[in-house]
Amino acid sequence: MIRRVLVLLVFLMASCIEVYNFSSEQEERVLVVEGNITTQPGIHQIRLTKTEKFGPDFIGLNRTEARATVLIKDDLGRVIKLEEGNDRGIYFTPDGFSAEVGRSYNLEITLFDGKRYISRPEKVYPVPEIDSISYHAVKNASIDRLNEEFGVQVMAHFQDPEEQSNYYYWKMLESTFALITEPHLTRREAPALNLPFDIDNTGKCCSRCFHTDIPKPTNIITTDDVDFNGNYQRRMIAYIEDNGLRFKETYRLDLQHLSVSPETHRFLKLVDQQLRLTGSVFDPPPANIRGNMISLNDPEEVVLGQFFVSDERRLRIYIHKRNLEFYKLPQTIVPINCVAFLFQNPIVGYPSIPLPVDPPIDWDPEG
Amino acid sequence: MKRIYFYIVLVLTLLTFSCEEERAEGFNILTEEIVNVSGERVILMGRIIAFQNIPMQDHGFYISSNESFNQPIIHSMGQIDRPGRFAGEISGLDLGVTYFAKAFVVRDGETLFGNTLTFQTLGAVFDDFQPRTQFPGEIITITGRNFADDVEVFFGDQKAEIVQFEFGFRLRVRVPSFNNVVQVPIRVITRGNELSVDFPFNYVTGKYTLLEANLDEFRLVDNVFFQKGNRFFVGLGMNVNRTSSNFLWEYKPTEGLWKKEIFPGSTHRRSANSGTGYFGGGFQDTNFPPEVYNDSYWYYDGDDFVRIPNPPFEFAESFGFMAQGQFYIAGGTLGIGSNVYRYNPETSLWQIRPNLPFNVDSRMLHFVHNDKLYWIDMDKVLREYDLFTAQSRVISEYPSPFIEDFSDTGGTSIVMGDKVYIGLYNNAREFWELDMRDYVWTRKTIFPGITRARNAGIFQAEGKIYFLRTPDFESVMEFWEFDPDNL
Repeated sequence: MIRRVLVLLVFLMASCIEVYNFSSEQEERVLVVEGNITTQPGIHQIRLTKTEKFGPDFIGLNRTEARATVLIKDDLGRVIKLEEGNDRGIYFTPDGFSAEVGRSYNLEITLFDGKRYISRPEKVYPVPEIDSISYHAVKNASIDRLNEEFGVQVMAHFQDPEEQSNYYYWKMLESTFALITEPHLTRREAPALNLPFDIDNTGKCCSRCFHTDIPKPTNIITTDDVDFNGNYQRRMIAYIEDNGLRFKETYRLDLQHLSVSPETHRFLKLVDQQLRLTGSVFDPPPANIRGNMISLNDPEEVVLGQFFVSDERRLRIYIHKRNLEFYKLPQTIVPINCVAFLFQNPIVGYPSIPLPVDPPIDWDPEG
Repeated sequence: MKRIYFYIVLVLTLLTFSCEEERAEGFNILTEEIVNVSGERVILMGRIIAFQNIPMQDHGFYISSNESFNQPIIHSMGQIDRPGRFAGEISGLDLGVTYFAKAFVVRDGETLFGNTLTFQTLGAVFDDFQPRTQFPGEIITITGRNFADDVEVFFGDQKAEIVQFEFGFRLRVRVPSFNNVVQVPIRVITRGNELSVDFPFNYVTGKYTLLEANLDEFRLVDNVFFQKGNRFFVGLGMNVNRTSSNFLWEYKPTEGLWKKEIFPGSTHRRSANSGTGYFGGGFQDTNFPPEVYNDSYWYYDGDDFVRIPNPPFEFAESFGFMAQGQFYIAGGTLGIGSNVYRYNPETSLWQIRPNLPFNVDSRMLHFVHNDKLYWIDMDKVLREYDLFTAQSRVISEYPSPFIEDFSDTGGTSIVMGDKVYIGLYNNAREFWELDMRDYVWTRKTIFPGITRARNAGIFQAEGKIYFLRTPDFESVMEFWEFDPDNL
């Protein structure tokens, strides 16, 4: 009897394997809107692209969306038409344009194929003034167990106003630093660039140039004042990793001190969360972050990106190696003329840009 | 034992079956947000909140100017069967009116509404139009805010054709025909609102008359010209056939004749000429380079030519001008092109002054207003130079295009009060009025004469401008009268 029951159970448990035909959803190419405007007079830009498929059949970068009509409208009915530049898909405001604190702005886009999009209104909130900026060196544990990560934290000192809710965003801009190289350590032939190349072992020629980079890592540093409303702040607004080159002498960090709307703060925070995913079990799940762009033809259409408007204060700080308690050692040795730092083998075909030996006109590290 | 198996099978069977709970088809309709409001348009966002697809016969928005939604504007967006957001764009609203809006859905014949939101449409504003002066039939651009699609533009009482209506903020309008009134107000009418600006539109003015008076058989180039009261003088330089001109001709508008007069010295070609009677330098022969420098300097006092000391520097093709009663020479093609010297008639002395910030020469048009020097360089930039503080700044840009080595030299100018008349560059017909109070350029009537000609002199009397031109291919010079405010 038991044998029969067992046979019956075996039959019950056995089953045919059915082939599961998985077909992934073919995502349409979706519009990506990148850009913001601020209260700083100047040329502001909006970049429009369409996403490209990513995967085994990845065929390229996002395609630009050219010949669109891009308008910025405020709540008084003023309209600013953005003109497409020489680079397709990038649209520029007229020179001298700036947003106004207290006003709300919409970004309205009509693509060449007639599809229309509009952003939700974005209000400009005033950003509190920064009293001062300071910096200090930091050491962090890194993925490499044997080597710690070195970097510099930039701190802002400011009073958060009590009477209003504030949402802050600090965006690092392209920054300039003195690139120190060691040309005296080599007798290598100068590359075929017709550049001055130090071969007399003096090390005097062209060991100090000026290079620019976007500070890494490009984390999104944003916060709200829920936890510190009305209190004086000493808060980290930027972190620059020491790659062995950046802090060999002086690094000039440029960044924007911005106010954002609560919606933009939420968007940026989510994007930052996604950027910080490390693959651990504690990571938040990957998410499709919706921005504030709406398709007027199909509200269900996914549009990526967030158009936002900010009150802006431009910040600048010179970070001197001599003021850093510690930095990455050994520092990176570059045994060539610094002018030829970006030199690439001509076979690669990319043009090589000689780095300037003279500092930018507004370089004033002791000022 | 069999019973046990039976019960086991029965229990398993009951366990695998379950009741499916019928969920009620509940949903909510929400008027979520006023996305954008302009003068006559609003973009609204609504939302259907439900756990499942629910077929709706219709959805959209009700808009009304009263809270009870009497006679509403119904923006119907048709059938929908999925929950989620929907956006509607409603046009044709009145300007500056408070409206009430609510989302709706129609389900089983019943219309259900969301919450009510209020918004106020914006008023229209007429900010500016450019250019302020234009020819009939040409285009001007009107900028403002919240123009509705029924917008109309009037020049005085004449309705204008709207060539382009751009997003409610910019209108490109064709100027109606001239109706014998030079200045007319522009009115913009939209949704029954009449809008205007404080400044009028000007039709392009300027009347050219070719005068009969001629300079014998001479066709002057590289010459001197100046004015004493209502007496015009032109001469020296050379004939286009490279024969020297040791003469000057005098013209009085009341007489209408050019009279030849003898000059006591030798000719001054490409000299520094102030247009006021002071001149000198340049070349005394008509040869091709190397040319012979003429180091004499003169002043015509109304009766006689009086020789004045020559400066300690050679000048040819220079700027010559008067400021605060003193004769200045600047730049030129001999030596340093930014040198400045000043002659004081009271002390009869020359004095070196600070160099100009740029090299200049007589190919560039220059003039003096309120004792400041102005010149238009080869890049069309109008610069101002304070002769006393040696500070310079960019003021404006000449509005007509320059074509390098074609129309970027040879222009002429004359100052009349706060207005400067500038133009007639080589091979060009444009003539402009520049108001020195606000640096606004006003186009004048296109020059109707021969453009292949060189300017030989410019004068003014009784609010009219007189200019002499030497055509390249005609046998006589042309003498024109220009009335800038007439048609």
